[in-house]
Amino acid sequence: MKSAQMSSASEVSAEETVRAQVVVVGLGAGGSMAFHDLALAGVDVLALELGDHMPTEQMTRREEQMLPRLFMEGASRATEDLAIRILQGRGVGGSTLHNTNLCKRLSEPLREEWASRFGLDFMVSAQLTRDFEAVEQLLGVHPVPDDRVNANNQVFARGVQRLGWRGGRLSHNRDGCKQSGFCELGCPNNGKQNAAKVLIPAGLEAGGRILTQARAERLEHKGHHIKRVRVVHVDGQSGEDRHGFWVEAEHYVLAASATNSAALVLRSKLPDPHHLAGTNLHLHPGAFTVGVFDEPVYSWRGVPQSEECSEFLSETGGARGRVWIVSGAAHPGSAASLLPGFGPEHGRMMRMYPNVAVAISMLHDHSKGRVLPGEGEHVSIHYRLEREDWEQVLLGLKQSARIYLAAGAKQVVLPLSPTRFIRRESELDALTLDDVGPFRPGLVAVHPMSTLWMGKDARTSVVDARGVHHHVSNLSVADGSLFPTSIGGPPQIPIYTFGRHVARHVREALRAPMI
Amino acid sequence: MIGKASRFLFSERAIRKILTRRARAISFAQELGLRRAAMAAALALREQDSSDARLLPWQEAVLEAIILRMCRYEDEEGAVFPAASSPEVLQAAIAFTRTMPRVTRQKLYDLLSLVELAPAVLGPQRERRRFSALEGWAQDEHLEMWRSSALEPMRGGFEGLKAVCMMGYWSQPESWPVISYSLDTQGGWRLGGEEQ
Repeated sequence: MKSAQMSSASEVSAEETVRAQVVVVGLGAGGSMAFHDLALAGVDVLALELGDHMPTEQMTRREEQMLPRLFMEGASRATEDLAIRILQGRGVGGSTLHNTNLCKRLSEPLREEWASRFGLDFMVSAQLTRDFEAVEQLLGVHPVPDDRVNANNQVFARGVQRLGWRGGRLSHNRDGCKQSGFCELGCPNNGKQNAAKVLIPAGLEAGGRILTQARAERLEHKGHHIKRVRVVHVDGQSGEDRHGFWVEAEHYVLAASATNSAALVLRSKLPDPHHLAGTNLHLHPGAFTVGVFDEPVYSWRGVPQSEECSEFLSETGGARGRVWIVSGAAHPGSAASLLPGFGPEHGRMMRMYPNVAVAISMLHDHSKGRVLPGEGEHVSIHYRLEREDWEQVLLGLKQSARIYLAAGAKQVVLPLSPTRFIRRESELDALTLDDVGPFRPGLVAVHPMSTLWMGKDARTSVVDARGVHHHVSNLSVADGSLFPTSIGGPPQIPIYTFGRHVARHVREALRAPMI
Repeated sequence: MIGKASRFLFSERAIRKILTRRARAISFAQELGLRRAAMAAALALREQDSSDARLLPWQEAVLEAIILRMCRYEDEEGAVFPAASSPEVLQAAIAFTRTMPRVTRQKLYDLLSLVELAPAVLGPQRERRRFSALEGWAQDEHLEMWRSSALEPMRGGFEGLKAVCMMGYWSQPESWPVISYSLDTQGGWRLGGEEQ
């Protein structure tokens, strides 16, 4: 996909001013949808993307090459205390380039809760339901077929079924998938119906423009109006900042993720009388549990994450728990980082790699953190789990261990300190809240959200129900920042859908024709 | 009114809130302390300006020493781990750090300085030597001290260094046969040995 409409920021001269009707900052799920819908509506839209455009042939399947290209901060992003590793996408397509294609709508109970708690009437509207349906159709969302469930997910499903727990098959957006298992390193077979494949070409075709290697540095505003955005060209090889230039537009859409969008708002010192921007951060941190089986599982081979256990998940945070358990897998470098210990003990665990199945207990977190702007691409993320959430981590570890024991695992490895090797269910009873804490286990988060959240009340939220900033009239937000609370599930479908919702209101504000 | 206030003060919610804030304050102080210590160690050991966050030759040697201990795997029957001393492992680890933002890279390199200096300052009287000059078993003890420290920032530092070492070692194709990994797989794997 080469297009005159898409070029590197290196081609813009220093101090030049580029003009457009609407500027979209960031091309993940939300930004790509906004870009697509606005371009198709005939709006002169320009998107700024920090990363590169990476066609399929550049997906080399090598961890050490793809992690730095596909993830923010060279895949080194973490909370300030380093206790939670945060994997966020960059590049044209954002996190849809590396995600595992999980597709879920926001649950009905959560939509009702947001409507009543935050005055978001559109959450229970038929229009939003139609938007979800349209997005799913556009992306080709469908349940993973039986013959595409790999061994890693087969053992997981077997355990859930034997325990009689709630769970089942998940839906994905794939077309042309060859089950290579390299989804998280960028699909080498163009088998993902992601933003780069589905939305970007159509948006470019309709006249949209994209500048890659372009970091939005600061929004210059006068009173309650953005005048222009300062953009820096970032060298694609070294990651170093090069020259700067300006982009002017009538309207600006922030879609650079819950971390980077909030950091940009804060760095720009936009009006924020109640000091809300960047707070309320949720992460969905996840803990890993490893089941060791007699027969090979080769967890990294085939379609990842096709089965779930929702027995302990209540999306509205009820008494049943707030843990969503899904299967997972990691390629060797990442797996080795997550397995506990070092030296010979670590080597023995790595030897088990072909025979292990991996489960992730993802937390529907109530803990709140905050984002602060850092230097360049770096964002300072302050977040610590509160006691109630550690209880949920413990719950997730114990229940995922039960799933593997029920599935016939000869042992389950819990990456605590010291490492626990569980062979019988009764051994789990000895685990208490004292056994979990920062680095016990190491946590990984891939869903930052909620830092510029929606709400009716300008005193308790950052943007309104249209996604427009309460105090800046020509600024909208179209990414996971919008969620008022954690959502307890994969966010890509909600973010795509909110991107469409926000774009509709931007079009109305510009009085552009509807598509 | 007083009853209401005291009820709140002694309520579980209030106590939790106070404890959480205390834990956060302690953690912040520790983080700050470790960072300051790392910067001081880096300043003490540095031989040139580090404004461009480059790894100095002696820091490379420290990283190599850490890799050798982290990835000191023992061969078993049917499993031969390639040596972690291969220059490609170190180079891959260094290359991985170069993709990080300058500020993160600098923190990591300062951490190497602290790992190097800590045994020389804090070690037992007769064994006060830099990390890279210690015997292997003593290096393991120091790494274990970092890994299991009560200070969260030290555990964080350990995990950060471990991630770099592991990426260096396990990104080498030579390390893959021992865990049956390859890039060649075109298709999934089902229980019972069925290719998809």
